[in-house]
Amino acid sequence: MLLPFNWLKEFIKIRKSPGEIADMLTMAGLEVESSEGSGDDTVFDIDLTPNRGDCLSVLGTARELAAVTGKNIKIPRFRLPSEDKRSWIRVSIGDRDLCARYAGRVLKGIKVEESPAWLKKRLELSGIRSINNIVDVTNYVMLEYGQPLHAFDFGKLVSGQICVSTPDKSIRFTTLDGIERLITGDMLLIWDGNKPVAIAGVMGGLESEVGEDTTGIFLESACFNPSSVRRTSSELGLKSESSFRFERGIDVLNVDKALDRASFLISELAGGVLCKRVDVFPRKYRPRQVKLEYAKVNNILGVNLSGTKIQDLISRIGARVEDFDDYLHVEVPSYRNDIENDFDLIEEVARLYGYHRIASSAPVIRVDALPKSKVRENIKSIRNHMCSRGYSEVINFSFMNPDMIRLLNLDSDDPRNNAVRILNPLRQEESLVRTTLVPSLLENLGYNFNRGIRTVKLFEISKVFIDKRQKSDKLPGESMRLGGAYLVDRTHRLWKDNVDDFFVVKGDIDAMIKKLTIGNGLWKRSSEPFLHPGRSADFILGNRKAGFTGILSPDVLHLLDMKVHNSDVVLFEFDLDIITVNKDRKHVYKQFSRFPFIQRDISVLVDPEWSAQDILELVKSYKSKLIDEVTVFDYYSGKNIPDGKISLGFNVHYRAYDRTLSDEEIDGVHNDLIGFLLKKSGAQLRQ
Amino acid sequence: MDDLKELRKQFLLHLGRAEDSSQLQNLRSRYLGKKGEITGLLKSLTSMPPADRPAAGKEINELKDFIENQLNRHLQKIHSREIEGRIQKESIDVTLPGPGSEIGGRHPISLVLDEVIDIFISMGFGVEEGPEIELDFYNFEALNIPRDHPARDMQDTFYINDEVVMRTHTSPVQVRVMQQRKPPLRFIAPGKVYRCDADISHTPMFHQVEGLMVDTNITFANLKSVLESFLHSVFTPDTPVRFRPSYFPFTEPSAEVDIGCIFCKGSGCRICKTTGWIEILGSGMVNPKVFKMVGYNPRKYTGFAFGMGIERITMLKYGIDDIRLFYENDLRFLGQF
Repeated sequence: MLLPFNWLKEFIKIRKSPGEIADMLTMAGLEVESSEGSGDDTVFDIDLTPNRGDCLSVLGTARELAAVTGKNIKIPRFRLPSEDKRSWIRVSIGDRDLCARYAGRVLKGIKVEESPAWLKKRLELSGIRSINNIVDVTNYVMLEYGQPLHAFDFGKLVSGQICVSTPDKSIRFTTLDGIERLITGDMLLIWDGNKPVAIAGVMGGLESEVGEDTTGIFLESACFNPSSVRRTSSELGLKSESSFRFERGIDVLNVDKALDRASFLISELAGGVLCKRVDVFPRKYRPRQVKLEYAKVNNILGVNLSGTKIQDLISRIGARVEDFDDYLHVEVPSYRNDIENDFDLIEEVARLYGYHRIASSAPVIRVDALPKSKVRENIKSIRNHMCSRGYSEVINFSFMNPDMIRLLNLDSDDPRNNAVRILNPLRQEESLVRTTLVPSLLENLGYNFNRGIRTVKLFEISKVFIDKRQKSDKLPGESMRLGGAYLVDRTHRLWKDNVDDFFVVKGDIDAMIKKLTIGNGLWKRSSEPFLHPGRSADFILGNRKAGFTGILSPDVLHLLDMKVHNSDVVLFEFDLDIITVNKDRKHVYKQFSRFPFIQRDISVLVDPEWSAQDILELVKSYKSKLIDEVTVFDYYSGKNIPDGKISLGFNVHYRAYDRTLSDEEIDGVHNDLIGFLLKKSGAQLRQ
Repeated sequence: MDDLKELRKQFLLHLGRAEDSSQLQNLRSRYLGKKGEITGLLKSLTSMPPADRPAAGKEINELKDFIENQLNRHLQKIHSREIEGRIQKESIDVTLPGPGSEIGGRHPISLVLDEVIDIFISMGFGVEEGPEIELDFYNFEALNIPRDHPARDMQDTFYINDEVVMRTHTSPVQVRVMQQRKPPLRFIAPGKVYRCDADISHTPMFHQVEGLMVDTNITFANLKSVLESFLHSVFTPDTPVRFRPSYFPFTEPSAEVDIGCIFCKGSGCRICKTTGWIEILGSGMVNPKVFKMVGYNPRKYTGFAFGMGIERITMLKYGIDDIRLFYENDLRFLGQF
């Protein structure tokens, strides 16, 4: 809200500078965002919180300033010219819940013209465009008193009967801005007989607009229901200064005063005759009564204020108070719609006393050791692990581009197709909620690579969301993921080793998995449709897929806007809900043998269907207590090996817990192991 | 005993020609081995008259010791020379970086989140979480933000459907935890939140940390103390902190918390819009309407709640002037943290 300082000074005597006043208002909860000089005036831009609709006017702000300073406000006086005896119009309220009060007055023989300079300037400083003297006065009084007003061309009202009610059925109605709108049955309208002339509290109609040839007006000052105005305004997508104020609640006892103020100003500026005021106020207004216990004030705020002090502070907001020893009876003023209960009054006490005067005091608490969250600890350790392995942490929006998910060629029954859709996305590219981190990571990879960065190693730890497509579950499934992307240009590597990038990344993952001590998982070929089928793997824990890692399929890479030569893009994604939640396995020390070991190597030729992991598992399944450890030390195919075969070398450590083994004993076991292995796998021994 | 002198001379000649350890080994067998020359001489003592034997034996043994010593000394010399040669051959450029020496950057938001969480843990707060896609009930209704209330304008909301929204703040976690547990409560709830808003100072997703403390005697003075303590820890102990009245539907009284501008030290600059203060936190005493919503007796319990934006704190801590940098994920930015 823009508020000229000089206007404020008409309502309260203040000697302080605009800067000092701005500060006082800010510290009272009316945040002055900026104050800018304009000629001999200063304009405050006040950011009002939605509860303080009463301050949306010069009068309201002056009242607030009076409460803060302990001064009184002075409302400029005016003398209303004598009224004509007839009102020329009758008003009826059809729905008392939606309209608490409706006042109005006909002014005849007026002359519509340009407003005088002083009026135009005030409006301009307040951010409102000048139209003509009639419309300008309605706006001026709204800014001054906080009461929205509307002027109808009286000549266009034909029935002499104003009615406030909702339509029986949807109708079309053209507002002042020339737009035809669909009015539904729950929107409150102002009717001239059976013809709608305004949307109550939102905007008037085009037909009854005041123009140059208008000679009489009907001036409306009413109090409409805040929720109803808000619903209507948001359904129509039509916000106005008027609807903004009604939504926040206006002072029902101010309706007639604002009408008189505007009538006075119009008669001054446009001449004419004032007809008799009409005022329909069907239900008697009863001020809200609140009991405020002194002890409660002190208990909530942590202060020790006397009853007299509290009484003084509360009466400053214009409330009538009565002291009953240990509590205060408060009659809330009609303009403070926000004060409903004692907590609201406690805030008033704190505000006017000054938040800065409430001394800080540390809470007295029970000291408890909190249980450590294993999941959070694990996530922290993964984060540190990935960073120390050279991956940088990214954070992406949780949105997903529908085109990007299509790029992944997912099967039609893949749950990652079941993305939550946002009804009102900012952009089409952000209309889905992520079901996988892959699309964002590919975008990050492309972004950095296309800016000339040749070592791009990224990871992200964020949630993904899968719509369960079941009516009973209103919320989607949320699951925490670790995702990563890797692209390191081959030509500019210092250490030109021949390790496939798949293994570089898998090594990083394997180390992480070891660190998490989640037990034995297995790797198997991945079926992810966007990965290279021969160079990708899924990690299986228990019988659940915990994640995957692999080279991005060449046909997907081809579709991305990246010119990558002779280097591979590696992706990975893991479900942290699976790999960080270990079932609290007890960590117990296991005794190891202190006797020496004997080692033997085995080299076999296998068919490509056999993986090193299969052979290892086979060796481990061989029943001998003497096998201490088995490792792969050689993997080879090519020259000197029959076509289509793979040579695998294993190193076996034999060791006993109770004695030093002899070569003779081990030779027997080892030969038997080889026999077992060859029989089970169909492998040949490599000589 | 001239032949002993001759033998000694001959040995020294051979020794001078020996260049590696295998040649020295040969010399050792030639002189000291089972069939070596010295061994032969010692054996020949038996053929001498008994009277001459001690003197001759002594001389032979002296020569034996001499050869032994010489051989050992020479062997050592050759060893060191061989090792030196190997060392020289194996020399590398030690200034090259080791493979895998590059470390990745932490995202600054994640760094500051961890820091904020750790500070609250040190003050005895637990850490809770809640869904990011949330029911309208938890995000608004239960926090005293009814459907047709202007307070909804404070937060532009992404809607999934009539009942489900992308949470606009971390405050719904308060309600979820209170529904499940009885006081005393003391926890924070960090996480992502969403607003339908994007410009130079807003991103549609950002991070908040919510906090709640409920017990039988929690006061506004306690709220001030806890938040001052936190701000002095996350910034510096001499950072000025001020509380001013504000409005949040779920707290009453409500307070906005400002810190003295850390750039201009309060004298007024572009960052603090010349006010000398920077808004950093929203807070207040839990509105009794919220307590009623979760089934707490508002006559028995009081509490405070607060919420802060992590992006803002991160920007202040690292002097980052554009919020959009956080979500471009440019390695030239991330690599600095």
